[in-house]
Amino acid sequence: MNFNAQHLIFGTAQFFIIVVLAPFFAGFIHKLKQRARGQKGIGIFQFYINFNKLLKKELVLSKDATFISDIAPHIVIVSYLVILLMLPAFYRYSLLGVSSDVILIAYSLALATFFMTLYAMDQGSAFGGLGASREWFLTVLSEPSLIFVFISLAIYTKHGRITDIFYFIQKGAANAFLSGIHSGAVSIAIPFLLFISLFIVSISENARIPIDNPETHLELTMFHEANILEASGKHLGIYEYASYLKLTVFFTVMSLILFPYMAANISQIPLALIIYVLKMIILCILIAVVEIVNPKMRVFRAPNVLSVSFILSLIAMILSIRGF
Amino acid sequence: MIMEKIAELFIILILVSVVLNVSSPFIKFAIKLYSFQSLMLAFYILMGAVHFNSINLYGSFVITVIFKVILIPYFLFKTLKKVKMDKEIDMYIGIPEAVVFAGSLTLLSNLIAQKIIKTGITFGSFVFTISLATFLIGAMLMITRKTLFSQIIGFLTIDNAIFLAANSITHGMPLLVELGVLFDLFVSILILSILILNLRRNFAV
Amino acid sequence: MYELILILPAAALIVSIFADVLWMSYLQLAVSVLVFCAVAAIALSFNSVTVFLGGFFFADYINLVILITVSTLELFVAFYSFGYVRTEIAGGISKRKFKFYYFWKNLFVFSMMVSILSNNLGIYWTGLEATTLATALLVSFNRTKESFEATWKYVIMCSVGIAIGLFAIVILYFTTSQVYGESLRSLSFINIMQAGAKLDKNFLMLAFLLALVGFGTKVGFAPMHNWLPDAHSQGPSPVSALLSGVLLNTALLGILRFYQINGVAGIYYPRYFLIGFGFFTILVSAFSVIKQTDYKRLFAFSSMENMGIIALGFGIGGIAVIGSLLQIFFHALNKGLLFLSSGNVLAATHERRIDKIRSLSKNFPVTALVLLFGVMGISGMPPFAMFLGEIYIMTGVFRSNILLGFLVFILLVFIFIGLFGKILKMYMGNTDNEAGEELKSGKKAHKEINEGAIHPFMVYVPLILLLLSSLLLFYIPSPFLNIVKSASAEFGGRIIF
Repeated sequence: MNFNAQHLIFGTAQFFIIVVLAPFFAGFIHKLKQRARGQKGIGIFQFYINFNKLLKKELVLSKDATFISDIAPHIVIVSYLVILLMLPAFYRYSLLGVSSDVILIAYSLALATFFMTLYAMDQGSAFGGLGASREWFLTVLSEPSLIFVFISLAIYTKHGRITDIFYFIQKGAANAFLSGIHSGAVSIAIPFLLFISLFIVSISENARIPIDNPETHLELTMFHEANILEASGKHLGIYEYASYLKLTVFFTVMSLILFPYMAANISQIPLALIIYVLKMIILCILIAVVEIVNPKMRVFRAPNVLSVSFILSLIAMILSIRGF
Repeated sequence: MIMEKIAELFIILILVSVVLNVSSPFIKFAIKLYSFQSLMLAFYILMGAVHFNSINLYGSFVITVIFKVILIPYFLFKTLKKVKMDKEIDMYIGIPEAVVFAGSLTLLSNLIAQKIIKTGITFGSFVFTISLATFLIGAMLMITRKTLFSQIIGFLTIDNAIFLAANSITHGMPLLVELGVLFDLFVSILILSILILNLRRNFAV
Repeated sequence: MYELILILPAAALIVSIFADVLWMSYLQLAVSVLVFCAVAAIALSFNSVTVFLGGFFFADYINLVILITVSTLELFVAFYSFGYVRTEIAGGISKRKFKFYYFWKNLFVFSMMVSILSNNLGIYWTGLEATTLATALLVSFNRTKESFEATWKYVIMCSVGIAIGLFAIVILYFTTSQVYGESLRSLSFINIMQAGAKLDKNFLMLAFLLALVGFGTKVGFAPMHNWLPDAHSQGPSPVSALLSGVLLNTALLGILRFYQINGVAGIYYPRYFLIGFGFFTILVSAFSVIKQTDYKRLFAFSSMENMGIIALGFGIGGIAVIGSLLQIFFHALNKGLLFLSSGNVLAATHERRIDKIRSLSKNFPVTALVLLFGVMGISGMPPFAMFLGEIYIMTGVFRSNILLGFLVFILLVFIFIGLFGKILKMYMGNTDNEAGEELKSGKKAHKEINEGAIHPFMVYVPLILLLLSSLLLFYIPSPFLNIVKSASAEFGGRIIF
């Protein structure tokens, strides 16, 4: 088989596998939380059924809505899909690996948030503006640490593309810990700092419990939900799926920081896939535990936590500039 | 090599716990974090002991665990229970500002540490940066917070920073001296606890 | 002989747990006299550096000066305490409290002796921290809110400062361990001095700076001085005398050791830091003295000023070092008499504010006179010994830099006006003003407020100190002078009499 054709096939397969698995991870977290509370709970695959149902429903738009409302959900989901095309989740040569610059990833995430909030305001309801401003309140706080995480990864490995970054980490770790050669960037501490920082950011960005609680529709607690309150039918389905994809994006990056293992050829793919799913499940359990243990915190305490995340990523950046 | 890398993880955890300490107004949590931080310090010393195979450091590990991880937090918890304080109320600057300030202190200490310590002297890279940062953030905790417990926590943080630096550039102080130092620290915590009890009971400070 | 200096306070410490207070006060007299005799015997026969107790302790000329200071002041404080305990017990304070007084005081003196005599810098550190802890409960002896808060500030600030000092010792240890390897030898002061120029200069410099800031907190150098006036004014008067007179010097000894090591290694610029800190301390205390309303705080700021002068003298070098060494001794005596005699006023009137106390000369003839002359002495006026120390230091300062000398001189005049004006008001001022009216018509008028209320020891100990302080201007015993000369030689100071 031609080498490039192999990249094309496995890269596409990787993309589809992640996209298909995304609702599963969200459902798994949901299931864990419900079990911990002693409820019977929905099935793990309930989110697929929901998505299917929502797509068939009628779409109702506000009479004030402009063309923004038509394009916004698509831009949101496409930006997440593009990021997933770049991430080398378990196969090293992802489809868009060539152009997978870390800055691009960070701003694609911001673009999606931007259009989601535009959609919320475009509908003209009171909740939309409220939700949008709250969403930005959190995003503004978590955006710097997200960018710092990516930049310190780039500085740490001296590579710009996310595929190269994780390959470099993988190679360095393999050299250092398996064959004992000290070459390139090897540190446990810096990835660990980045992991903590990204973990806090992903809780905030994915509307998870200590910061936000998407399960309730109380106006006081709504962050993410208030943005898509007006969405219905197809749009709501797209938004729901986009949120699963966003979760998957964050978890994939975290899993790569935690333990980068990417297949370089066909024989390694089954093992890499298994490791990837295992890592994702571990992260799901971790986030479920955080959600179960912590109560929802007051909105004005959110900056405390997010500033910690920011400072940890800043420290990681300082230490990676310094060299090791 | 691998010991050094794991030791770096522990010192990073010390800094993380200090930053968390700045971000939290709860005193009980702060004491727990201090205990955790001391445990990480002890593990760092243990890694050094294994790496250099130094009996001195093994002894240092044991007394650090006894005094800093167990005894001092135990007495602090006991005092806390008696005076019934749970939350820091008097802060001169808000928490997010304090955390960002802590970050800039880390930046500053990195600049200073690079100037004075050549790489390769310390066991584990950037130990000196972390220790200096911990020191400065501990001092910041003492200055920005008014509650008596927070001042103790700040003082203990400073002490941990100095222990970290001491164990990173030397292979531990002589055990006799280290024992004296820890004993003094322990007694000063006892005296401060007595003072807190007196101040709270008689004058409601 | 050397061991005796450490063993006696330790023995007194243990006995004080069991003994009755009044009985203990006799024992304390005996112990203090014995310690003083031992130190005197050492001083008379001293001719070279002596190591004892397995190399952990040693005596050289510099710590001998401080040792003589401590034992002399301790002797007077023991006599004063003899009267103080009786007066306060008659005033209604429980005996149990005074049992702790003797316990902590002996622990304080013991740890101070350990610090001063230690050869090992780690032991020096431990002893210095122990003095903080031992004095903590003495400062809060009165159990008022102010005293607890002063103690809190004292313990926290000094502990942090001394922790920084520990860092300095760690860095020094790191430097010397490259010569001696990692053992107790690398902390031994004598060994470090022998290694001298072989040590890494950058690290020595860093260690000195950290020691200056760290131990400087305990000395009371200016930006870190916040705790000093509170702690020194809140304790019982004999303890205040010891704190101000000798504990500050013990902490200064740590800085001097680092200074010496730097000197041996050929680093000379630390002196500018000493000069800077010394000058700044004088400046801050000069401005603080003027606005004080509490006479014990006034004296505490005066101690700060004198530590500043002493540090300045060590920094200037040459003849000023001799002045500083003399000043250490004279200041201890003079500050002792001020705190002790003002303690009489406090014990009788229970009043700390300057504007509440008037016409002392009527009710406290001896004490008031001692207080007045003591203030003249502490400002460096001629009939008292501190004149000698200050004139040497000022000569040194003027020789090195006329502008600095002029500034220091103006500040000293400031302090003199601040101190003397206030004490003069207490001495003479008539009771016609509001405060006096209150004193006359209020409850306090019924109380017997005069020297009869206090034990004679309390009246005459400061007087003897005053006489001694005056006498020392005209006759300094030649063994002491020799010790001072030899000590100053270690800093490179020379003297022409």
